[in-house]
Amino acid sequence: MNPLPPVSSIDRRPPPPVYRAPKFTLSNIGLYASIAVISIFFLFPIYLIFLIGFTNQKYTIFSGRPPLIPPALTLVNLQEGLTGPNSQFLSSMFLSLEVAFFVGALALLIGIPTAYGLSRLGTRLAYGLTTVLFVVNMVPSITIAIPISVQFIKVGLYGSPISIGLTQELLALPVTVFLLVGAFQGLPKDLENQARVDGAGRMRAIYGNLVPLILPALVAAFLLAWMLSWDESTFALILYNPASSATLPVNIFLSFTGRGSPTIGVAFSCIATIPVIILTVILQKYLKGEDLAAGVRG
Amino acid sequence: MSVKLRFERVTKRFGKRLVADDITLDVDTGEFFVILGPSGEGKSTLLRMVAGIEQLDAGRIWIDGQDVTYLAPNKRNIAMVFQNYALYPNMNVFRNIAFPLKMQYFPREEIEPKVRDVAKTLGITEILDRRVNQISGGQQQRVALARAIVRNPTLFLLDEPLSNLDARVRFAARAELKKIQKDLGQTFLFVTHDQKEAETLSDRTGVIHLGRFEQVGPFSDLYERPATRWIGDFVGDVPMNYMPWTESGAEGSLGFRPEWAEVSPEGAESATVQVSERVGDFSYLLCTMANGWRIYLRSLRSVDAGTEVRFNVNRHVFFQTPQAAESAAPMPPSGRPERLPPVKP
Repeated sequence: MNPLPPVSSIDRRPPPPVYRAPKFTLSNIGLYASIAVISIFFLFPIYLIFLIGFTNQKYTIFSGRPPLIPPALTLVNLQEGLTGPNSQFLSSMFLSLEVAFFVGALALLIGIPTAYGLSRLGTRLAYGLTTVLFVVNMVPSITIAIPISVQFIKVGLYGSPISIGLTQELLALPVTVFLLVGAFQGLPKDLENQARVDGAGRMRAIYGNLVPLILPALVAAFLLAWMLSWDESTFALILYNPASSATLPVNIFLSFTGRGSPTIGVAFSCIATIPVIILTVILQKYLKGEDLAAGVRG
Repeated sequence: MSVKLRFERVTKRFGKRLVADDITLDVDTGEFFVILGPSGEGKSTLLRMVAGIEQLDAGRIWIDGQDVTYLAPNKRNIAMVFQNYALYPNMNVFRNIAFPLKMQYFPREEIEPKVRDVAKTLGITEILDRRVNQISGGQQQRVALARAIVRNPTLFLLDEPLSNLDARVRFAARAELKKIQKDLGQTFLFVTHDQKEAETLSDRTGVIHLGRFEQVGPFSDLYERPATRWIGDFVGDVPMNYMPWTESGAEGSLGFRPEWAEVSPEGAESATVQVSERVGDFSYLLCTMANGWRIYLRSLRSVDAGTEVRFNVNRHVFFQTPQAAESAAPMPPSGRPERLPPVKP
């Protein structure tokens, strides 16, 4: 077979437009003013928590008129939480991490096949079934937590990380599935068909050809499940077995309601945001799904 | 010639819509067979059923004498080029082409030369390292073709592979496709709504309408001897012209192409020109006959609207009135024999 002449590249498409923030001018001063107001509205409570956590108690909870600008910062609260005689903050942090990664990983493990299946059902049916999944999230957690705890007591898993993780999965899974169904539906159907025709089995086509394309959605789903577990306190509290350690939110809650000092709890509320920030920064580059939709014209 | 692909009483519906109505068809080995039809007539569905990514409601599909009706797509050893090329966006051009080989567990050192070989043939060696979204539409089409060719399949399915190309690139790609098929000597099943593609590419063309092959044969037959008036209207730049006619005692209509009639002052028939349209070397005259029927004529000179022209019909085909039309047609529509001859692989 004789070679064909090279094909021209002249019909290459133009590069996509780049987003630029509007210039700061008098005409859009209102835009920037409203951004400032909204930022203050959301950041002020966080600032207050920081203030209570990292200044001496005498300026905050024991003061009649706490100052908005702290006279001095201190790590005393944090130190006491880490080294205090009965403090379990460090162990509860590790427990929380353990449970959160378990919830995130399990959400993907179950969520990917579930979402793939739903995405192949047709939009209306898939949407209906995904909504049904959210029933657990619609019912108050407390009504589900107690019967579940009874079951875990029966099988001897009460208070274990697995029991907490599995229960929190009930909340995380619908969210991940919802996200991933959308991602799978966004892929051209013919990509999977092409892979099948090219000789890939169904599993290879899904995990080798489709899943890499929805990486941003996978990362988002994992992060959501992870954070949901990291923050979750109702299930974790009901499943808390005083004989073992509690998750971080439960421990913070307990420090307000008797055990330990509230300022330590507040200090650790601030610390609790750090892993979330680290994880988001690490995974951020996968959240931009650039160029993934290309390669398929139509 | 042996039968490469056989549709045996294939039926498929989407909801209430019948897209394949008891279709029976044989495609020979080494043949370039084009399935032609208007949009939304289920052409692609036929192709997808051969590929195994669409299930049949009834009937069987045979490839090389083997019943593949229930065989998974990855077990059929066929190549398919989708309309949008479906290049894997997470792989570069090289890995796209290598993918089918990888799926067949070829060792790495065998994959590399095979991919380079086919890339050289298709003139895409320089873009092997590129991402698939960094190459032009014409290049994407060639990559899709390379991926189909690379593992030497014996049956190629192509679903409107030229429709996403610029007009100029498409013209060249069409000629190349024909050359590739001749060089490979393999069976191509090609779906299109563009009759120019059918005309230039096909050994045989099947025109699909309402879930059936209205007529199967060389493209020139479709044009010269349409089996039904529908074919006469669908094939050709302009619809066929018709006049009421009686032939050997049968009621019906006479059909003729614009170029089969000669405009001359001594013509036996007459019509009034409505619109005159210049196309290249001649003009199409849209005319109205005395009975109100509209016809197209061809003339070397432009003619003013409102003028009466006279013409002779030199050649024609005859269509009987509907009830008997099918049986009297010069080419039978896709036959549905009671018993099929045995398949020879």
